[in-house]
Amino acid sequence: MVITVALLPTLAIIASLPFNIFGFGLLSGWLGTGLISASLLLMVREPIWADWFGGLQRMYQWHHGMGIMGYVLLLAHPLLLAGHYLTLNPDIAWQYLLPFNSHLPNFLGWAALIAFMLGLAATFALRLPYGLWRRIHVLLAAAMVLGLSHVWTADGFSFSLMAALLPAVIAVAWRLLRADHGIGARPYEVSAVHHPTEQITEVVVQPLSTPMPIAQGQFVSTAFFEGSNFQGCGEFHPYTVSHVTKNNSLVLTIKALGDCTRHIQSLEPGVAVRLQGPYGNFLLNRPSTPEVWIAAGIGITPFLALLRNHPVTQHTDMAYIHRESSNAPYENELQTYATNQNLLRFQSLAMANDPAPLFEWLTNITRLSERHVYLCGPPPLITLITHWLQEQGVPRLQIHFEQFDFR
Amino acid sequence: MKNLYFIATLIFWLTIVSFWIALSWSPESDNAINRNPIVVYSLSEVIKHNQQTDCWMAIHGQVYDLTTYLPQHPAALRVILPSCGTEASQAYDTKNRSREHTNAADMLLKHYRIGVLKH
Repeated sequence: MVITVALLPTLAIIASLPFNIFGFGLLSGWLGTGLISASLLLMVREPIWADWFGGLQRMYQWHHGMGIMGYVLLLAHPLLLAGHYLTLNPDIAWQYLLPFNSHLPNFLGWAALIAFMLGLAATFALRLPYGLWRRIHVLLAAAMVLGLSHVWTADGFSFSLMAALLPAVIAVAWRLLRADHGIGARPYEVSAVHHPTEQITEVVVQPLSTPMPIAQGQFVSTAFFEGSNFQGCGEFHPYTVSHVTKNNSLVLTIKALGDCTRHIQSLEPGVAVRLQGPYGNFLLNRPSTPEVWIAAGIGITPFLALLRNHPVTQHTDMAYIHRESSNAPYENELQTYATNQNLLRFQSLAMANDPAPLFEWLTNITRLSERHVYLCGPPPLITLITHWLQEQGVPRLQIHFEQFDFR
Repeated sequence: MKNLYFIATLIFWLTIVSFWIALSWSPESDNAINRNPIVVYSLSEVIKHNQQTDCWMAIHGQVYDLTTYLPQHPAALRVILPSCGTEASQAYDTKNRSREHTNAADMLLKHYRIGVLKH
């Protein structure tokens, strides 16, 4: 359906395009606009949509893939238009490449391209804090407005323009109202706050209306609001549910990584909370064959949720990677599970940047290539481990992970 | 994804800069423009060339034979075809919807000039 939405503006005009380089230039412009517009539909964070795509991460991969392909096609648009006139008269060709000339559609088109470039550069080049990243990402919305204005001033009001405009408007409105302002989010309240370590806060939230149907190991988008001595930042952030209690309360495990999460350390019972989700399905519907679990840092929480709920039912080798040389968060609890469960083997690995201890541990696992491997941790480490596992003969389809991130 | 962004952006700017350098260094030439002796046509002559296979237009006192250009026109043929065989200055200036043609279009038009319109 999303592909159809992406192609609709192009399909509406393709029959009228000239069959030459100029025509291909117009084609790349419409196709790029359609792809970027449709990609916006994949940023709405609806759990049902995420399920259709096989998880929020895969939906975001599609969002990124369609967006970047659209950007490349938009870059090709002025180059192809200019290329058409190159042999006839280079001066005419240059008019299509001249940045910011007096022609309004040209000005708007260039402004859109520059805004896309800067917005994507900030997204790709820098590892920004989430709040700043979000504000810079808005530049891409401005680029979309400029791009559609370019189309309108150059080509007038058409069905193709409407086909590109409508998905973008619907997606942005939907995202702002549902995901950012939390319309339809479920009301919860903080009932208890624990601090297992200096950096980690465990927050127990109880439902104030119908509880969210959530499986162990999933995560939720959460916003904390006001309490008697606490002022939440009100933004929705992803937090893993490390336990679902029998009375439908959820235990959220939050590590102080940014301004908002640091502030949460001073959270108190009674604070209003709103939840969206659930998201994350990489631990759902697992086959009953031997498994390998690898968690790094706060990535331990989805596995912790599984173990807190019930003992493992298949042979499971688990590695917990952490920077602390001793007393890593939840290490004692995990050791206890391993002692009490015959099918669970647990290894705590204190390591910094060198993955050698992990790879050595993995090479000692019997029939590794037949195992399903579940990973949770920072994206660079997941990429590294995934490549290594594939080199060892573990098929890509047996490697499962989900980045608990909204970028 | 990240690599695709950087490579595509780099190629884009290299193309723009290369083109600009090549254009700055090349001698100015306008030799593709039709420089045949000026022929004067009346509007009644222009009106006879009103088909897709034979399309003339009078625009701001100049007469153009746009027959070979028609397949290249960005907008659909039905948009430009009614202007064949007419005094099309207003249609050219507004595209019939209050929008100007680009500088590139103005430059391109010169290549199709075949004469001037008799007053």
